[in-house]
Amino acid sequence: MGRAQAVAPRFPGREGARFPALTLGLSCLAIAATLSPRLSELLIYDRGLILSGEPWRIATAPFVHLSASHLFFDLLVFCLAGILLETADRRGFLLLGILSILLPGLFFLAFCPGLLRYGGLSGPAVGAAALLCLQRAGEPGRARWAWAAVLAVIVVKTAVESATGAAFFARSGNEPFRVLSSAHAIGMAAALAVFLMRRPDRPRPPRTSPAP
Amino acid sequence: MTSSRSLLRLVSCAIVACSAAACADFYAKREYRHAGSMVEYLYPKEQKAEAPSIPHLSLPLRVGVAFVPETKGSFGVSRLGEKDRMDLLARISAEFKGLSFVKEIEIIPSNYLTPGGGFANLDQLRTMYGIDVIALVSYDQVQHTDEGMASLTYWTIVGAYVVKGEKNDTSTMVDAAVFDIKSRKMLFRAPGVSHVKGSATPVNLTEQLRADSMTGFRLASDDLVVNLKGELERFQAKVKDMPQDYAVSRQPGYTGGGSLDGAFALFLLAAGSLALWAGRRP
Repeated sequence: MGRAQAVAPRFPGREGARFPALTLGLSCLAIAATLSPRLSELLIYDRGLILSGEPWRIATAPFVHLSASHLFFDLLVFCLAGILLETADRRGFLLLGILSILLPGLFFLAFCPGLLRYGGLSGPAVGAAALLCLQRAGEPGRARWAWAAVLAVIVVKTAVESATGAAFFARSGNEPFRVLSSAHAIGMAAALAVFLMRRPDRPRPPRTSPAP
Repeated sequence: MTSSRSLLRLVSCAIVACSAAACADFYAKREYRHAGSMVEYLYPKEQKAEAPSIPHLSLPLRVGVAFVPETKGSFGVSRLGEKDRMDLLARISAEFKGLSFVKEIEIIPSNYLTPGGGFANLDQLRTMYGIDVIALVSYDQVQHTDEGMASLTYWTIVGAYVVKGEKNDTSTMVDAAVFDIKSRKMLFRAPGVSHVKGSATPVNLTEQLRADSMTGFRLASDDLVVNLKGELERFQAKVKDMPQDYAVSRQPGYTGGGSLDGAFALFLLAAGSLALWAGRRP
């Protein structure tokens, strides 16, 4: 895997990677964590084990999936949105990754004591898709309306899921699990935060030239 | 006169001899024992033992913890009070609280368990508290003043313990056995034993035995909690390694997935491609 190299920014303050190493690296981790039962058990969000001294599970849980279809659809969106985003704004994607991977686990730990196990990359995937739409919708050109429409669909779907409690009980093999719409909402919130932080028109502190 | 003096001496000697014998008997043969037997509770004499079936564990579990009723005929200077029992049950339940497959723990007061109640009584508790499995705690403590006699013989579910005792020693055994109530199957058990060396003199015997009794229970409980941790880990590994012996299912809501449904993922794929294509058109 080649080292990520910077390419000319499409917009001031955004610098893309020539090779989407981060996206592909995280995707490989997700595949390995799901295919290896031992790795799955070591990395999945397990409330009891986190509270008894295994905090890394908060950060690693999104890479564990509960079935092949669960992995496939999460990875499909994460990979495509991640590649487009990372090659356009590497720092923004890195920041989004940190927030959307860590925040759902911390949220569930603090506010969802009944949720004992969790895994899945949909939070970062929705976050990456939303940030991509936000950035592209802000660019000049006809395609901005198409990106805005996709963003609207993502927002409406997440809002409906959150409001209705999302009766989408997916089955994953023999293990029924509930779809955590809150993970999607947190991914979207992370995307909005990163977008606002990295807006091209955001006032930035003047650069001080080094002393002679 | 001489004969009456002789008679008086004889009577005095007899009284002294009897007193000495009584004292010797009092100090040499006295033994205190109090116990709550798991076997007597689960399998009373008239009740036939039921064959256990394969346990079906529906995760997360609701666990009850309770002391088995005290065995008839227990006697001694001190017995384990309700507060001491509750303290021990709280320590045991704390071990279960950290487990991801345990949803709730109910501490069941002793008076809800009837002596010799067996699994019929456990079925009642299952309905009453909504529990799936129960950790039954039993104990056996012997304090005696004889040297060298077998001080404690506790008939556990898996066999008898015999501990050789010394004078004024206190031998204690606390045992926790976890049962799946529906299948009657014992999932695992953990023992805790302690042996407190006797330091009592005839003057402070009662107080010292009482203090030793409490110390014995405390030390045996500490040992039990340590063993319980190990047994819980072994049980979790056993459930994974032997799926033919333990049927495990998970209730909805127990596990959450950050999951994108297929239709939505495909929509994003199509819409994103369309947007990219629109952006590249001159």
